[in-house]
Parts: sequence; C-alpha cells; structure tokens
Amino acid sequence: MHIFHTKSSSVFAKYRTIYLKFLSLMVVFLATACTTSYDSAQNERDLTETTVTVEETETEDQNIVLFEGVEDEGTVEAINEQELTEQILKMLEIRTFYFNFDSHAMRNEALAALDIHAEAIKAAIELGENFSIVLEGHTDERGTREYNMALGEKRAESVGRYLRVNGVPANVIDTISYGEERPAALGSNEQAWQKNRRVEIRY
Amino acid sequence: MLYRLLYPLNVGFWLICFGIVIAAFSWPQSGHTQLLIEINEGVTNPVPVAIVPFSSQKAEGLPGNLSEIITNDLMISGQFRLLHQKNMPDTDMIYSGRIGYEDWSRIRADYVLAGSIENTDGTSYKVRFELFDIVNRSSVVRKQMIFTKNTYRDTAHRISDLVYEQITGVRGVFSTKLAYVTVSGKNPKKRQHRLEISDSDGARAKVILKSFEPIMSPSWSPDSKKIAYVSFELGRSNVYVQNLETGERELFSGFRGINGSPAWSPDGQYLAVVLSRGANPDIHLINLSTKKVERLTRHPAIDTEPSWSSDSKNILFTSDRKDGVHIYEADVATKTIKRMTTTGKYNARARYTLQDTSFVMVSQDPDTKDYNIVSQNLVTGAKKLLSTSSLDESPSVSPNGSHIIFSTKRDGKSILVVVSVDLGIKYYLPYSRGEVRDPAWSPFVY
Repeated sequence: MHIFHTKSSSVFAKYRTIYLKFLSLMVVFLATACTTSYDSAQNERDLTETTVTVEETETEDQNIVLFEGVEDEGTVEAINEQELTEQILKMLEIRTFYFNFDSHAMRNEALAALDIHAEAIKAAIELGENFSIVLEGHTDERGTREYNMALGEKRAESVGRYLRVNGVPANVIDTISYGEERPAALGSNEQAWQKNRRVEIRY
Repeated sequence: MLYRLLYPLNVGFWLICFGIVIAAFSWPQSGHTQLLIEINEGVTNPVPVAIVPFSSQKAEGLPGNLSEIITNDLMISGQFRLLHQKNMPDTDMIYSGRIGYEDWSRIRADYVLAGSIENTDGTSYKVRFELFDIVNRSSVVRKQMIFTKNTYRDTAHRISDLVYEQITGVRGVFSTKLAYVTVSGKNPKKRQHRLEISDSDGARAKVILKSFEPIMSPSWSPDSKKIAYVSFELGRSNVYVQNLETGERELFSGFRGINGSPAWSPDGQYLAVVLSRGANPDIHLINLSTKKVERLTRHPAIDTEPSWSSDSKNILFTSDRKDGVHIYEADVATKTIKRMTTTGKYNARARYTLQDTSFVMVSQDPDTKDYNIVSQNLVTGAKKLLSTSSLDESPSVSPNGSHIIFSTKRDGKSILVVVSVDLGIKYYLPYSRGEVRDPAWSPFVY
C-alpha cells in the first residue's frame, strides 16, 4: 500500500473542504459497507495501466455499486478508515481518462475512479455547494482537425453519460472538445498519441 | 463556470474583462514575409519565358520591383523556365516598343514580357507592359495599369495572372490570398495561435487574430472580403466572422457544444457549420442574413467538415455512420444523402475541385496507415494520390482548380505544401517562427 502523497493541484486545494466533507460521508458509509483492497501498482507515468481491485459486500439497503465492471483480482484485505480515505483521495486525483485510437468508448480501467468522482460530485451538491464540472475531450493529431473536434466531443460525452447514469445531474456537467488542438504531449509517436487521447475532468 | 454564463451575455464585455484574446489588426504592414517558398518540383517541359527588367527611370520612390515579383510568381508556378537576364538581347530596343523576334528565338524564348514604369503624380505610378509571343511573332497582351506604393504588389500579381492565362489558357491565381494558422511556443498548454493572411506567394503576411487559445478552420467568403473561423478565445469553440477590410468581427455561432467547421456557400447565402448543441455533431446551415439555423444532417454518428459544390446545391461531409469514416454528399434542397467513398477505413475532409468534377480528401492508407491527400473523380470514382508523407491534412483547392494546398509534417513541424493537380509541381511554404497549418486558398479577388 502506497503512502498518500499530498501533491494536490490548486483546484484540488480549493475544493478540499468539499472533499473532506464528502470523505467524512464516504468513510462512514463505506467503512460499514465494504471491504476493499487497492492494488497500487499504478504509476503516475504509466498512464495506461491503472488497476483497481475492489471487493464488495452486501449491506441492507445502503449498498451502491461503486466499482462496476472492474475485474476482481482476488486480494481481499480489511483496511481501516485512514487507508480508505487515502484510496478515495487517490482516485479523485485521477483526472484524466484515456481512450483507444479513433474510439470514444470508455476503457474499463476508467470506471472505478469515475465512480468515486460521481459520488464526490453528488456529495458536494448535497452539501449545497454551487458545483459544476467540465469534461474536456481531446484526441491525438492523426486524422483531420474538425473530425477530431467531433471525436473529442464524443469522448467527453461518453464520460458525461457515465456520470449521469451514476446519478450526477446533467446540469452540473459541461463538455468541451479541444480535438487535437491542445495536446498534452508533443510529438508524432504512439507514446505522445496515447497521452493525447483523453478526457480531463476539470473542477 | 465561465462559459456557462457566456451565452446570454455580451461577448465584448468578457473579452475586455478577461483579456483572453488580443485581436491584433496589424495591417497595413509592409512586405513582412514569414512564409518562405521552397520550390521542389516543376513540370518536365517548362515554357521558356524572358522577363525584361521593367524600366523605371522615371519612377522614383517605388518601394518594390514589379518585374522581380512577376519573375518570382512565374517561377513558383513551376510551369516556366525564366531566362537569365545576361543572355537577353536588345533590351534597350524593347523599351522603345520594338522587338527583334529573331534575336529572342535565337536564345529560345517562347515569350517575352517587357514593361516600363513612370511616376504620374506624387503618389501614383503607371506601368505599361507587353507580352510577345516569339514563336508566332506577335504581341499578345498590351496593357497599362495605375498603382500606388501600397498596391504595387497587387499590380505585379495581376500582370503575372495575365501572363499565366495567356500562356497556359488557365486563369492565374497569383493575386489570390492564403489564410492559415501559425502556432509557436513550447508549452503545449500555452501556445501562441495566429490567424494570418498572405499573398499566394507567402508575402505580405498579416496577423488578423492572436490568441493563446486554439484558432482553426478559416473559410473565405465568396467575395474574399470576410473570413469565418473557429476560435476558442471564450473557452470553447465558437465560429466568428471577420471583415478583412474593417477588422470588424462578430461571434457568429456560439451554441452550446461544438461550433465548428464553417464553410461559406459560393452563392453567399449560408454558412454551413457543425453544431453539437450539447448532443451530437451534425451539419447545420445558418442563413447569413436572417441567422436562421437549419439542420442538414441528423444522425447519432459524427457528421462534420462540410464543403459546398460550386453551384451551392450539394455538400460533401465526413461521417463515421457506417464502416469507419467516409465521405457523403448531401443534396441541400432534398437533404438526401449519398455515400461517396467505399474503400479504406478513414476518408475525411473532402473539398470539391473545380467544376465539381472530383474532390480531394484526407485518406488513410489501410496498409501503411499514412494519412495522405487523395483526389477522387465524382463520376468514375478513380482515385489519385497527391501526397506522400504520413500526416498530410487540410487540403484546400486553388480557385482555378489547378493547385491544392495542404499541411504536412516535416522534422516534426507542420508546414504547408502546394501541389498541382496533375502532380508536376510541388513547393513548400514553411513558417520561420513555428508551425503553420489549416490553409485556406481564397476565391478570385477580382
């Protein structure tokens, strides 16, 4: 289990209060509901490999499916509140979700973190915050510029749809496509291209 | 969020408040060439032409040399071999309006252009010029034009147009303009974008918009006086229309979602745009005078990159509705849609060529995975490969149909390339200070 690093972005810091409030809700809720394990093989630089494994146990009526579509790799481990907090914060730090070439279908690896984002947004709204998010869709440089604008929009829309399905009200989600105009990495190679095929959540 | 609030509000207010964009109207700006021309290939049998340096003994204060600009124009076209000045006979004689055909045929000139310039009053000049057909021993063009210090380049390009048309039978495009986007800066999140306009030879580049946010997809109005383009200056893609004479600009389409891919109808009535309106990208037509928005396509797939036929009756567009990304043609009146490409998995951004006999597009080669410019005959379906790099895009057709300009990558940088449709000619237009892309060739300017 990795130790939680507090390398929060400024936006993150700004909304820290919301997160903390959200966390207190989540922690109370989840601590009773789930036993979880987090395979922290994820490396910040290894963008495509995010492996999150989660075990769920049923509780009465409070149960929510948080980690739909994520394969269970079997390690079940009881953890304490502190660790759970770390995991949630870590998930919330994942703001970029990657896509396959010319595709706007979300990868399974994105879902766990998006579930946490959805819960965080809903919690923030419940707490009466005037809250909204922007989903920025991007593509790599291959293909034509305006087609890529449309593709970026489709990608942002895929993430938006997933959040809505998970209960985030449509009116707090805004989507913007930048197509290939705002690359995260410059260069004409698969490494740069993969970094550029993405949707970023902006709080 | 900022852009949530934008739509109902006065755009100008936000512009001032946030200073996101600095619209720099920097013309008139004298001969500030930023695009360079590199001639790569010409035709195999170029026509030998002699351009006698224009006499300008009575033309003090002339800012540039007309015959040099004309020589450069004809050289760029790749269709002529310009004879060297030191081999030219009787240049004195030609200034007095006479020509010795034998002397010129001895040095194998097929055509000779000569002229003289004089200062008519303090501010204007007069050029008289004559084009001689040496083979047929006749004077084929004889004209005079008035110009000023500010318009000498326009006059030179007009003479080039006349010479070109006389010799090739095709109307010249030296007077036409190019619009393109330049990008510089190393930080991917803060690159300087500039929308620029230049002469067809890259000279007289003017920046008409500057922004740290992306600018893309310039489209000329049929009278060449306005440009529609996409700018992200308000945090998302909106379509603007800018008057090139007055500098006045208007936020033309600022709906929720994508506002992109503007295309001016040749009859001047509509601007075709792509709108997603918070849902799915489809082609829409906005009436330029009433601003009424009419939907042309309705499909859950991507529909984008509209291009008008010369009679404004049909629109080619890109869609991923079936078997990958393909080109479709919509009948504007009936809205019926016809699929135009069947091979490969990626055919996009089609543009009709002259008289709508064919179109050019960006096609991905299924084997090499390269993106190249390909033309396709509208009747026979026959295809021709027009480029050979791996990331070629944004083809735009010259108004006489003879050339295609597009962007390619060289040494990791985006540059412009011009090729003739018959493939004989190729030249590059790199940008000295960064990358250049998204070229749009203007219609005829006169």
